[in-house]
Amino acid sequence: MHFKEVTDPKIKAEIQKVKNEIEKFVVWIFQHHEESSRSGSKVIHDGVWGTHRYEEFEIALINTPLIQRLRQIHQTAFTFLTYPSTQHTRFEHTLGVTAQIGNLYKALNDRFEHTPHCRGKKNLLGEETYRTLRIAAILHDCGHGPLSHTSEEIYGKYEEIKLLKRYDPFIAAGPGEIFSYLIIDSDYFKNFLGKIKDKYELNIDEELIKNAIVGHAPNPLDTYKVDMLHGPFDADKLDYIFRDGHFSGLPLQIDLDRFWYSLDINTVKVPIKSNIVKFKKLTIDWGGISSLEQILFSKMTLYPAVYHHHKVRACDCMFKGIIEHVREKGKKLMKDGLEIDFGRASQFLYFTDPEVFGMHGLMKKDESLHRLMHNLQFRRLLKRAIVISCDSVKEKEKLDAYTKNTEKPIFKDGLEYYRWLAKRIWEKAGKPGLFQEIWVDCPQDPNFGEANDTWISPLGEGHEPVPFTEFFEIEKYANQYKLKKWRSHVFCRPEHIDKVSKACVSVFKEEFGIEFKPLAFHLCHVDLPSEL
Amino acid sequence: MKEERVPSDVIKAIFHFLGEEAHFRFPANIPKIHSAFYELSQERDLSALFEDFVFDTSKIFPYCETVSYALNRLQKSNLLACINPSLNEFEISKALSGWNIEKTELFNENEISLLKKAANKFEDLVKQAYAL
Repeated sequence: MHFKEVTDPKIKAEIQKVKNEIEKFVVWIFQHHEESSRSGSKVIHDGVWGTHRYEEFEIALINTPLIQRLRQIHQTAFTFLTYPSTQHTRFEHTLGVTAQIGNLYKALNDRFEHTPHCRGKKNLLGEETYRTLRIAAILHDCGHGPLSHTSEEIYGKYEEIKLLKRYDPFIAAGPGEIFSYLIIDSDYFKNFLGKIKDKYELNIDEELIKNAIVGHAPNPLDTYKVDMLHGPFDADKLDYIFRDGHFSGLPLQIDLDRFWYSLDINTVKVPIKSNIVKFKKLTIDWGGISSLEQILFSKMTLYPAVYHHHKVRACDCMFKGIIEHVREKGKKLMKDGLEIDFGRASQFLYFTDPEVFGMHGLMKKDESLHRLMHNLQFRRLLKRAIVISCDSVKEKEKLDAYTKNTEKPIFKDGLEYYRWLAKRIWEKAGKPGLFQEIWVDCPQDPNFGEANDTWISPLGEGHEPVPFTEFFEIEKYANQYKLKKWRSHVFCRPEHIDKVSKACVSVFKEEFGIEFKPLAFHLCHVDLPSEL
Repeated sequence: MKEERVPSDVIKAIFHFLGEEAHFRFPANIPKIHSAFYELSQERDLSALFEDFVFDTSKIFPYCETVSYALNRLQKSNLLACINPSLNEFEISKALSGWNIEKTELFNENEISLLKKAANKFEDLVKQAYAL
């Protein structure tokens, strides 16, 4: 069911409440915006993709405070404290994704114009769809909060986000994408976009802008349009894999030239119940299979090396500790006359990264908050006290009772499940330091599911597209990731490691029957507790 | 501490009942597995089990985050194994088939009989994937 069709009065009221909050944010962010008197397109140079031209209507959007605020949000959150050059922001990524839409479009047009058997497909992706998707690319990340996915991990668990995720078009969307959709759907923004449409005589599809961002294609025959921004090998993914790899210094190789030349659009027939449903999808020629494998391998490399690096996860936990402290103290931060307590997901939109680091200045003197902030800002990071993974426990089966609680935040004594567990460990260790300085981090698995939605173009007349999984068995690699690379940790202050490690041994045994192998301690350079 | 139920426990329980036959295997065909659970969720008598499952039916197969989560969860703890040499089949582990579901109190008697029924239907649905 679409969220706009909900009839239950209670749910409807909650959805309306979120919509009102977003409307308020949009009015706030646009309050001092003035349209630039400058006219004409603009050429922008990018460290990853080189030089690219943006049309005047695109510059009008890029110049809004809604997009400019992305200059203040790191693309990969706290990775810069581990990989110093990952200082790139959501703003550069936004421009990069827009450029990638351009590359996808040019590649498809080139194919339709120059390949004899494709000539009949010309104009499948028209100029207006192209412009619509470029606008969607510019706006796709406008709903991100500070530190990108790090704040998403916090507010994504809020009840209002979980409620929205039960309805179309948000079922498969991330929390930030849901906010981007609602921002574009707000009355203020619709009015603003309407003026841009009139001024530049654009015939763009506003529904497609929103749906492409959340990855929702109500009409299966339009799936290829959504695929361009939110599909198995979309513009977003192409940019972030290259950009994050480039700035973290990981040498990732993808044969993009080959990839562009192998792009196509084809009809995929899928049996759903007793019907055959036709989806029009972006597909790749057989010759582009290696490039697709390279894209997936690059993503698999980025997860353990960058996104789930233990120091990066420790920083994420430290940030969560700051937000938890603010919420627990029931304090309100004042921002432009607005009272913010992080009790609602939309409140994160009012902050960017530099403002997070300056947050203690917005509160009355609070020594604990000051300490939490300074430790993060000046890189006095939490360290690992124990590693919980498939190869660090004696009986893997017992991990199930531990990992299952990532799914549903169960509140015990008013705490989310893993905070409750951290409290048990903290108490067992004799309450060393602040409670906000001990964290049980159980990260979600990376999603490699795009491989199951990727299709290889038919070899010719009378042939059908073939699922990519027939060439590349993603489950083999995903399985290896879970068994060999996925790791959960307990983090604490370095001076408390010995006490906390010992406490972990007894709490994990009591709660889950889990016993650890020496590897659990060796991996974090901790002496084996005498009990082992 | 008493174990609390999470939505993916429904999948764990269905796999448990599938595995009553030792080392039960089924194709590691992700679209087919999601589709099979979607079909079960649409059955009038079984739908109550799947109340917390939200399927995105606009995709090429009805994708559900809870199903995806359950497969990850069970593989990590080796309760469901993607087996050698070809890694294209899932196998229910001895630990999962021997799980004492009644002792956990996660499901009531009525739910357990529905779960058994769902397991039988699931078996029929995924076994069709061998023919693909």
